[in-house]
Amino acid sequence: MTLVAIDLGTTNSLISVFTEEGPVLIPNALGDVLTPSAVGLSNANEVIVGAQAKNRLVTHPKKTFARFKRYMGTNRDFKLGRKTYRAEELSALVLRSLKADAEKHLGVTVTRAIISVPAYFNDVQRKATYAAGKMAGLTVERLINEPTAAALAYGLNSKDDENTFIVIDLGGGTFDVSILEIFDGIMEVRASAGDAFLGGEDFTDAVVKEFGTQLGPQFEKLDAKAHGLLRDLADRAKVELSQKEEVGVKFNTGKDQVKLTITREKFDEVSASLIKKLRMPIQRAISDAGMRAENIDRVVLVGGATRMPVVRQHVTRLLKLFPEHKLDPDHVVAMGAAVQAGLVDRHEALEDVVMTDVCPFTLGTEVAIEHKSGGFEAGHFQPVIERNTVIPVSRVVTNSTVRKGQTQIELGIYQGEAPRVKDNVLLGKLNIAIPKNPKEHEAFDIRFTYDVSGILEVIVTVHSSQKANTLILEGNPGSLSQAEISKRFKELEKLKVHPKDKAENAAVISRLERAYENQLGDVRSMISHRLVDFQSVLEAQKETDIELARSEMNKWLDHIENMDIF
Amino acid sequence: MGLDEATNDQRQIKKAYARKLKEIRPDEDAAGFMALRDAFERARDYAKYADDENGNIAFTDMIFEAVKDDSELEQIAIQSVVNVQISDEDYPLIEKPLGFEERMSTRIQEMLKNPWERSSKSAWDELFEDPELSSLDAEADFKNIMRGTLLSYFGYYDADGHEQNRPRGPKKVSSEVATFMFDKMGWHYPETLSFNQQHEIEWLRQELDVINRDKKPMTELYDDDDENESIFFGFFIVIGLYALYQLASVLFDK
Repeated sequence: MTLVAIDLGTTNSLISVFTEEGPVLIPNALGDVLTPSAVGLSNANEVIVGAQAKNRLVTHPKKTFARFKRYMGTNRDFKLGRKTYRAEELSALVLRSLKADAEKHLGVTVTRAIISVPAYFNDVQRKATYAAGKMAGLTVERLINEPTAAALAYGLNSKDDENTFIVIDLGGGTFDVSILEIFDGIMEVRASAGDAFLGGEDFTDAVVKEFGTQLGPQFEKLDAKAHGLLRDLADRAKVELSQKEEVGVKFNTGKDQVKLTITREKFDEVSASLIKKLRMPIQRAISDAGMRAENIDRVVLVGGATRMPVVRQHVTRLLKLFPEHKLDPDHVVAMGAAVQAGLVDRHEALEDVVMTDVCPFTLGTEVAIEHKSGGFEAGHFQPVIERNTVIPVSRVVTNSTVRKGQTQIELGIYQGEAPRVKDNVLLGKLNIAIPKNPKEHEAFDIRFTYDVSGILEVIVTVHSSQKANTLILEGNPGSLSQAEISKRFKELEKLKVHPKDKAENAAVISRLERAYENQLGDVRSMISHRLVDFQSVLEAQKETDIELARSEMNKWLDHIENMDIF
Repeated sequence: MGLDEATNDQRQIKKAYARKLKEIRPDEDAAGFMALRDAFERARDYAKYADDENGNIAFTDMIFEAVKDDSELEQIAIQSVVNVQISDEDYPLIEKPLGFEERMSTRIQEMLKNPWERSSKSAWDELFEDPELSSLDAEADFKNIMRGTLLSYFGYYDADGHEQNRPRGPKKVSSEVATFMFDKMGWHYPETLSFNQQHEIEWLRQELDVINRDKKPMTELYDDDDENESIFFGFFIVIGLYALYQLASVLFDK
């Protein structure tokens, strides 16, 4: 059975496998290895995923969603047509599309997968990723932290050297830092830190805001469609700014076409507050590893957002080292995840490689602390597994009841670094029955076990009865129960999906429609003519003609789209 | 085992660990791995710190407990304890540009002595934003210097420094400026610092009357549409107030 590896990103997703030649990325129906993490409904109410959906973000903003990874494990609903979906379900649709691509490419059924997640994803978000996999009909064998995967991709080439390197992963929506040490074929993650709410999309938002200021009061009046268009242009301008000093865009407000410009200097200014946020996680990872920045030999940049010169400069200044970029920052995580797949399957090319990872945050429980006066104060955090402990790990603490004769305890499980639980993240609450004992305080053990995928299991054993309660964290507002997952899986199964073999043509149409939105006058009417032409070619159903028309159309669209950005 | 140089010990322990790890993989034998990891971490720490027989005995015990059949790792570890010396591999000596510490410490002291500068946020900001502090190591060093200088300037090291109700002089730094310093130095939540350092920061916080900053818990960031709720509650509050007003007017009429 083939084990595939999936990089389920905020902006783009990839699927890969480990072969004799090493990690290989699998292209989608359009021939791209990057599939945009966007989901939408077509006009015929069929589900569409990928580039086509991304284009329709501009033309059909109400029937398309992207950037839902940020809401994994939350109760936020996305309304698509008549039904509402959770972020897990939208992710499942992306996973299903990737799965179909892999099956077509490899010629076998794919049911087992490894999925990469940001190192800083908490327990709820990790379980949500598992659930998404399940809803897509995949058995998720393992979750791997994204920076660790990136390090695997880089480290494989130098597995026999002794090296310490820092992986800085700024993706579409999340920021992760990991420190790795390689010795004798062992890849050891020393420390991880991060920010689950910082990524390239925030830089795009900063550009949108800047354009908004330039537009003035008009900006407030824009409808959803125009907003989508502006964001799309801002995103492309941001990418272009990595090459040029100044970028202009032509924006169709609905009434007229406005020219907006942004210089690199201005961009650096509007993104300064985001750049500042990079510092703390880097600092923390280094100090947690018991190191100083000067002990680091190599800096590896991962994630599309690290292409921005302002990010590179800042990292260089902080670490006084020039970053490496041998591998494509968009591909690294998927390639590393494939290496992990090879490791799990004990591929012979990876015989003498072992990887160990850490738990990036402190996990613990809520406790009440006794005052000198005899009263109790609740709300204190008691760490059980300290952050950056090597996993798998199992740790135990012994607590006792606050009162004699107490028959129940409510145990709050938290993640975080603050001494008070109110400042930490609640992972779940557990109710445990305690045998009634009016004479003494009952003692009980709380054991936390954190496995290689970063999933937490809590076992509470009461001393007197020796009864062990294995507790799965459920009932958190953001997590789904097993029954609900299988119910949603069946519902997703029923959805009509836009046929894959037509994806290439549909992508051209959605691209034409997007271009149409942003143009005025002659160009606009030219596009609508082309649209009619292309549709008539499609109706003739001659494969060679269609192929020719498609490549011609894409070339022409490249040209038209370049006119937007100058 | 030919361990002539003490600095080799860390490497030897790592090598032995690496060999063993290839047999006991973390994803296949979780329990075995946990025992091995425990042994490794303790071996590493003992090699670093142990300087008497105690370390030797404790370590041997630990090895027998954890990896009973692993005589190799044990041998190396015992060797490493015999040749004890603190290795500078993981805790390297701090190397800085010459005079950095003195320069910075003098600068901070001068600012503290100058009544205008010490109460000016922008003067402090200028110091904190000094381009010389832009690298991570320099910043970490600077924070240590800043902490040390403040502590000694405000009398932490004086004989009565820890007494709760000792007489205090007039406040030299306003709590607003002190809070600003804490903001800039990241001392409101000094989670990355050692226990002692956290204690020192806590002392400074009380001494300088720093205003506490509440950290936003991460979960709050999930919700984008909170305004609706406040409008909703606001609505009830308005209704409540109106009802009270009605009630009051009825009562007063009587």
